[in-house]
Amino acid sequence: MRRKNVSKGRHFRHIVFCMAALACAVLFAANLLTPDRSFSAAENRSLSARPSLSQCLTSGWGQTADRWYSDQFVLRDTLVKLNSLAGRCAGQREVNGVYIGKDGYLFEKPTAKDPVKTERTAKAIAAFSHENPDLSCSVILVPDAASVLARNLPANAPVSGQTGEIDEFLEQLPASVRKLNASDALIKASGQKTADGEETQVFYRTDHHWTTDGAYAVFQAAQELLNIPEPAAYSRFVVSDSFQGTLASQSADGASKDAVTIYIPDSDVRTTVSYSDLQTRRASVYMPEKLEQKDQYQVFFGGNHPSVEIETTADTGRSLLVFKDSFANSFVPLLTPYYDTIILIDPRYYYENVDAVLSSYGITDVMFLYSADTLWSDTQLADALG
Amino acid sequence: MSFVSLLFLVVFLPASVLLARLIPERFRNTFLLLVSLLFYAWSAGRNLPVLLGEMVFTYFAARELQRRRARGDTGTLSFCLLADTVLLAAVLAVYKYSGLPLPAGISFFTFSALSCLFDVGRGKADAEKNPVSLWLYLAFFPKVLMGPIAQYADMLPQMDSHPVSAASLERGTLRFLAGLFKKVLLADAFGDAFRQIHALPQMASMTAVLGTVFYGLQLYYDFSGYSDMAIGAASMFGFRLPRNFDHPYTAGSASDFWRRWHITLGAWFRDYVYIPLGGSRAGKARLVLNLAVVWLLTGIWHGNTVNFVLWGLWWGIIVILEKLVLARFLDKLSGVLRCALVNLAAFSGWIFFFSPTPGDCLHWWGQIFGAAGAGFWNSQTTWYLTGNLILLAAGIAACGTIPARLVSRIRKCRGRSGVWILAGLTALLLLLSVARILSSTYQTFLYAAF
Repeated sequence: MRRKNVSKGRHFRHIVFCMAALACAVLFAANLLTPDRSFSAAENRSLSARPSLSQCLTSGWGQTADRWYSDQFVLRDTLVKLNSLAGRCAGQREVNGVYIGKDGYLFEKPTAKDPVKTERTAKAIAAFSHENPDLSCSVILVPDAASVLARNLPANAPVSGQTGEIDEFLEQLPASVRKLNASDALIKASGQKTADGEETQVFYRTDHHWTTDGAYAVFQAAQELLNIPEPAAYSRFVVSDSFQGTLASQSADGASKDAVTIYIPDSDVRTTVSYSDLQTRRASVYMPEKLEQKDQYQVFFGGNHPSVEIETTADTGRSLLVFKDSFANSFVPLLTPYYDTIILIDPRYYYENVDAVLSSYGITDVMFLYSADTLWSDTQLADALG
Repeated sequence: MSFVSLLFLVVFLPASVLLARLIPERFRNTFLLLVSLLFYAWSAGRNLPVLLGEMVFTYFAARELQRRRARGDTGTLSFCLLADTVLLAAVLAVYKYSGLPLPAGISFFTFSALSCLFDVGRGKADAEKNPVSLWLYLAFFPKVLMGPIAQYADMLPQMDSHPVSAASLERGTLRFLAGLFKKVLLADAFGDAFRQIHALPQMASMTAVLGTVFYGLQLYYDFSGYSDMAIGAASMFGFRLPRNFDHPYTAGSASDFWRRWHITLGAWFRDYVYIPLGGSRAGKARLVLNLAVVWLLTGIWHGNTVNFVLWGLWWGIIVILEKLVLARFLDKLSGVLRCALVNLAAFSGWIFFFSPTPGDCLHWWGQIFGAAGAGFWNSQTTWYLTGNLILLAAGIAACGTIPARLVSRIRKCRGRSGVWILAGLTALLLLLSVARILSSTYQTFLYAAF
């Protein structure tokens, strides 16, 4: 019996050794034969190139070679997804800062509110409003998906309650600034059914942004804030059903896909959009070619730019300046019937003088539209407002 | 480059093993030395001159000690040994305390160098005439970065003859894989869980306790996993390295714990510090002094902040009290209770490890006793516990002999089916390990639309 067990032990070791040797040989050959990739769509970054062997005796070559071999490893994206799946099978509900929620929802781990930065930002907005009393100033803050779709969160997921945090921030602003906490509108909309009988989806399942339906719900709640007495009618179009956003990439979770919708005003207002960094002009706020790429959210204005100028045929005598992050990209197209000119400024990339914009465009209204996740750690807005 | 880099696992190690088998035996040590230096250069980069310097110094210093011993010149022998020790210790101290980047593995290869000088100085072993053999002992890549600290006298006979048999190759592979699984699948996962808790601004008592447990398990599986990989890799080249861990979290006393945790470091201090100072044979007062010295040095060896000194003193006090006072009380307790007390001491001690300063230690202890005002248990505690329950269960179970008994039970299945089941499980764990290593290099740059 003992001899049989010893023989089985030897047999097991032999099989494991052969298996390991075979695995090394196959992986070595596969990596050798697979051509290097220059870019990873899944990670949205360039992949390391093969280091030169002539440098192999220099300091740092080992790390460079390691990075190259890992970046170019055969079936890299598939194996990363396997790791994510294995973690979930083992009960993990957080992968790389993303909570794995119910019904296919992924949630970004909330950003902690920095009290020093947010106080500085609030003071900057207040000062801006005080220095420009003729301008109609409004602030719209958007909470994260975790604050709106709590029922889809994994049980006990640590979240920070951004609805209350947004209220606290808005209370720091003077009465002259019109304020909207987008939480209520989004929560209300998320409980409503669409014409097809499905639940209104106000945040993407696979991306940290709100959907256009969510943006539209907040737009409807903000009409009084924005002095829009007679809102236009809109037609809703689904332009994609294959969107997998930032959270899907971050968590290497490819299970869900999202639909991307756009709202076109039924009025015959026309737009011309000028991009300062691209040095181009377009006849639409949308860039349909972005739907062929990984980040389909860029269908709205092609992503973020230092500044964007939108000229319309609305003929309302109003001009709007929007300080924004990327959440405004799907909201601003709804505003084109109400302003002759809309200037978008993203302070994270904009370094010019804001006062010059106010005077040269004859701005009548100013809007600050941010997600709380961005604003809670932001310093650029306060810097831009000077 | 490290043991858990894919370039090492798929290319460097298999190629080294294969080439070592093909190269004639008389050139094998030279080949292994070159491979080891290449490994160190690719891991530690610009600190290779430090290792080279200690290699050269140790060779000539050992030869000189041998000459003086042969002449019967014990007075100058002792002086030379002392001077050599002070010099090597000074190099270690300069790097630890000056703020200069610490060369990878310096604590380990310096202790190997000191082992060589002590063994030669005391006549326990001869100074190696062949510099390649001595340098290979110091720089051998499986053990150069994180041990085990093999003593010179034990390794010397192997330097001349270390045949590689099919058994040593297969055993080595199995040991290496076991270490890889411990490091990648357990230690890294516990590390992620600990870092999430450690980043919390405040936490409930049980969250802090959970974090401490995660850290203690991460440390064990990381270090013991690496040691297994080192022992396994060495075996592939025909070398036998000493065991470094023996289920320490099943220990029944503090002394027993330190006979099971980082065994080779404990043996080093025992053979080169404790016993030469008189050990336990020079009266109680001297015993206390000897233990205090050993534990102070152990703490200093582990790190360059006061926290590590405090950690060394923590264990020193516990071991001294156990030997002098507590032993007869502990003997009356059940094995489970003794084990629980030892683990309480061990995990409490690890708080010194992950806290940068004594103040941070106190802050963490405050969290454990509810100073954060977040209660005993809250939803965060449930989150971190339920999200890591399977990991925790596996980690605790694997601290003892459950995995070995399970493997043995499966292997005994009728015919060869048990063997194939185990082989399949091993293949799955290997696949998951590769997947996890790749995931650790996965970094998404969120789109500009952020």
